[in-house]
Amino acid sequence: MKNRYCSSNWTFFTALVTSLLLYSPQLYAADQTARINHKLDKLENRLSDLEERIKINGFFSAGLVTGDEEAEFDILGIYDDPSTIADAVGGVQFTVKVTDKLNYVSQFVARGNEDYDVEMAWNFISYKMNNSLTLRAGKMRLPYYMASEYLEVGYAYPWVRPPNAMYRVVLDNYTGYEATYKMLIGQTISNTKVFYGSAQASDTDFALDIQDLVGMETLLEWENWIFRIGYTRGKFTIGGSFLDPLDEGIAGIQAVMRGFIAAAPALVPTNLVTANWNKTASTSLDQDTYDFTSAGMQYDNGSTLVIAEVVRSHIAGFLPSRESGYITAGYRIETWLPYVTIGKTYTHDDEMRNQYAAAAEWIGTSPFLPAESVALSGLAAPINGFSTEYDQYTLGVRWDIMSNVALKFAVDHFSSFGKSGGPFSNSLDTDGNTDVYSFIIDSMF
Amino acid sequence: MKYCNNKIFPLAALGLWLLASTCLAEVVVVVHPSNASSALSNSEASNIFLGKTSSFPSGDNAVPLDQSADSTARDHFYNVLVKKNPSQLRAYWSRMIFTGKAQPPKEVFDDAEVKELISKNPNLIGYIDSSQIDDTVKVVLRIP
Repeated sequence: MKNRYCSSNWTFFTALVTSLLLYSPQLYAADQTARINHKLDKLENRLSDLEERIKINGFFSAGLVTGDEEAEFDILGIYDDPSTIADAVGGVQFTVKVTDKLNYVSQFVARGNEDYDVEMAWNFISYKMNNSLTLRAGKMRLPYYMASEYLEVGYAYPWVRPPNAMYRVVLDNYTGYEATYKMLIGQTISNTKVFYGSAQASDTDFALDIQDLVGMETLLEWENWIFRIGYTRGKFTIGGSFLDPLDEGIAGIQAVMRGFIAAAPALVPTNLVTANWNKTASTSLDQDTYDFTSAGMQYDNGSTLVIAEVVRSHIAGFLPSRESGYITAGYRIETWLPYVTIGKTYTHDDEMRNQYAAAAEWIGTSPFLPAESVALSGLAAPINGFSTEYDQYTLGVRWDIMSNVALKFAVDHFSSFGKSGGPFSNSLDTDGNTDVYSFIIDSMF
Repeated sequence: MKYCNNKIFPLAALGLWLLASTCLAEVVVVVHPSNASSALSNSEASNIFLGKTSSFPSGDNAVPLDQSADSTARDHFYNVLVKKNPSQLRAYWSRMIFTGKAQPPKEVFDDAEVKELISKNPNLIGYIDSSQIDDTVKVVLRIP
């Protein structure tokens, strides 16, 4: 019994092994193939889902710039001569589709001039209410001018850097809310944006805080044309190791002038007697309101490109208010885009600063004053330094050398420094002019 | 004489084929047969493909599809419709992407994939070579 059982068992086992040996490789393989296919399908679905939901984009620039080695170009972001870090920048952006209507965007930017400290340049969620209205909340770029929102994405524009005469803003981000209303009127698309928020910026020698920041922008696109108007205003507080002593010095000039005018008006030069020597909001440096009003246009028919913009900024009080503008015209030949730019900027509120600088100088020559008052004459130069004026002429070319990479060369000629040092922080000869040579590699991916 | 003709015929055919493929290529913009739009204007189509609007004139959601970057259909489509070459388009998209406004259309492999995806989704819009038209899609714009 045991044996029979055993033997039949053995027979069964042998048959099983034989059949497995004979047939199972195919069976096993077919089973495995189906399993792998199923896994692949699942993986592919997950990948395409991920690809749909999360987009990663980036941009990169590496430059080389050289100019007059005596000039301090820090307004242009150029601290050394020659400099490879002035225009160096890298950025990565994540765009996450949360739902069909809700998106999240974050952009991380590192600049050579800031030791590649990573800054979160954009960090917002946007909600599409309908086909017309989109709302955004978070940290965004201030839409001061046409290229303000993509200032650092060199690949996006023809220039090595946007014309300095116009694009010279201390602060380019804010945190707040923004609503954009889109309309299609026949062939024309209009986008109107309103925004509200606050902003902070600081550096080694200054700290800036802007509250009640409000503004609007309207863009009209019609065939080859884009027209733009923009307005921004806010209340600011500014201070730091450069501005605070200057603010105190201005108060010192005011005290001396008030004293003189009260005690011996006959000794004061007539043009200084009537000036405002009281410490009010309009004669102080540390806080006030500002507004920017700008307009621009672009024409691009595929070969001819023309971009022009103007801005009038107004900063109540001691800090400089400017009028600036530029026009760029270029023509595409295959992958080359040669262009010329003519720009101009000047401060239009020099009168009060001129009076204060004149007062500082006059105080310095007075035989009646103690030494610490005479030392106020040293403020004449920094006060005058706020007033600037220059013309900018640029000859440049963009060459799209391969897909996603553009090389650019430009020669900038700055001239007509009617006041102070033109685009430079140190005071050069006021009739001066200088050239800046730039090369840059721009990429996006 | 007959021998001569035989030799010339393949050459002539080749010439015609080259002529056809370079000069006579026509790209057509296609949507799902059930799409409410029966025709789109050049600007309506370019607004959708450039991310300036995300809806059809009817108000329905519009999702554009691009052909692969090296395809002749894509170059032809953008050169004629929006007068932009590939690098100008990339510069345009860098402005849209890095301001968080829009992402470029999803890229698909070829005409067949455009038709296959569109036949399954009435919100999609794509472009294909006119020789590939069939009843799975509806032509709303011809780009000669």
